Amino acid sequence: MIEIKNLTKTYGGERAVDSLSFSIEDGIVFGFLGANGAGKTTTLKMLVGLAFPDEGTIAIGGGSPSETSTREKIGFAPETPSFYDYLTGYEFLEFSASLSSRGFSRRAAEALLKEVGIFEARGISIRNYSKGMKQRLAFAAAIAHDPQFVFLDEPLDGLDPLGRKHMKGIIRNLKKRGKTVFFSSHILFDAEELCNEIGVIHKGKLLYAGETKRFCDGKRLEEKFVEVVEKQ
Amino acid sequence: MKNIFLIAKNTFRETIRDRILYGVLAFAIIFIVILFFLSDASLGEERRVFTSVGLGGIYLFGTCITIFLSAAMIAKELDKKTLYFVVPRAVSREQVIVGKFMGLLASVALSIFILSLAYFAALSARAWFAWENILALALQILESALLVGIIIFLSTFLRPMLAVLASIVVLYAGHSMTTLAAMAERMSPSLGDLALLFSYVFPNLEKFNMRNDVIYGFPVPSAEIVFAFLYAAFGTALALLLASLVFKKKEL
Repeated sequence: MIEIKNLTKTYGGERAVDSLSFSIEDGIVFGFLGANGAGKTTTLKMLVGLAFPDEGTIAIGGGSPSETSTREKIGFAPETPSFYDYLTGYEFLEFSASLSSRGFSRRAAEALLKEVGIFEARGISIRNYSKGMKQRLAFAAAIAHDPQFVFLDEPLDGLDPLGRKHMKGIIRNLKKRGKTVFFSSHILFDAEELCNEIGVIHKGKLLYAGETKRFCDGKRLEEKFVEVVEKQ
Repeated sequence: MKNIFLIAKNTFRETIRDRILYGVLAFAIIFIVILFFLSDASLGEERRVFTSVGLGGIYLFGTCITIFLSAAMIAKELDKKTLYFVVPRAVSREQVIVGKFMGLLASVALSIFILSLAYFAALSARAWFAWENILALALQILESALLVGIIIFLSTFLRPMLAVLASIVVLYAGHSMTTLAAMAERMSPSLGDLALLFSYVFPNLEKFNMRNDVIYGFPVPSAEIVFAFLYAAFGTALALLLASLVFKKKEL
């Protein structure tokens, strides 16, 4: 379970994240939605231990992300990922998977590279990868150690329609395997398709957290989202 | 320990593939040609000039690699956010710092080693090889270790260019402090005290300079070598400890 209580983060006197409180049960695909600059990435950074809250607490599987034992259960793919350019995709995945107690398995890594669709490019330096291939590699690196909680920042951004379909399939598979997936997005069509639950953030404040269907109330997610945000 | 080794291996692989080796090899070839040319041109002082240019060249090139490679690598990690794939994992920030240090030091040491091989080959060709040369180069690697530690520490809170400039200041002050302190002491006691204060702030990098002893054939007391080793170990540990303390609080 992911539990966020009163989470607050201030940058330069402005509250980027303002008293966020919500929880996500295990096995849920949770879409964290908001316009650009709403506070999605700041929240994600705090969830995975890259940034520290000014106030409030985060519990992931009962532990704080500041503890390495909690981060063992976490996988994270950043928005516009940057890699060690002179490594190959396979080497990077090997490095990523090895940074866990589970360790690295060649067979598992190859299967994962096939699953995300870059197996053929595994021996090529990452600097020669396209944006979409990098996005796929980031996704693979996030789940290489089989984490219980997967955090993805705009995972479908930069992918072509086939790539998006592919990645959405992997997210569904993660859900089937009981993993909790938390992803931020401003592409609401994808969120509507994938998420059991959503959180809507606007100017750092949480406007809604709960079931997607209940939020939509018979409307399309995008329509309802615009309606709710414009009321603010 | 496993995580430190993985980060070190990854850092080493990335830096070595980043064309650094080509630069080192190109410099090694030019370096040998210059060595032979200069020593042949210095009548009666061939061996001394050969050793002086050889050790000096390796020091200059090795130090440039140490500063620019370390600063560039840390800047890349922080600015390009490659650390986003490392820090959210079951890795402590101290392990990241130590792993980066070890990987960078391995790359720097390999570069110095390649240049040293070229130098030793050239020395042997003239039948001038002396074991003291190895000692001088080993001490250079100790100095590089301390410098890498200092650059990592500076990079945790300074912009890359400022970190490079600050490390050049540390390098210059570190090699001049002993001379400056002696000069200041002669001018006035208060200036001497000030110089003494600065000498505690900056590392005394002259502890690692045994090039002149090798060039002029002076014996190097073993106590000085042991002290240099301990000085490097303590200084590097302190720099990495400070870097870890700053990095632990750093938001990425």
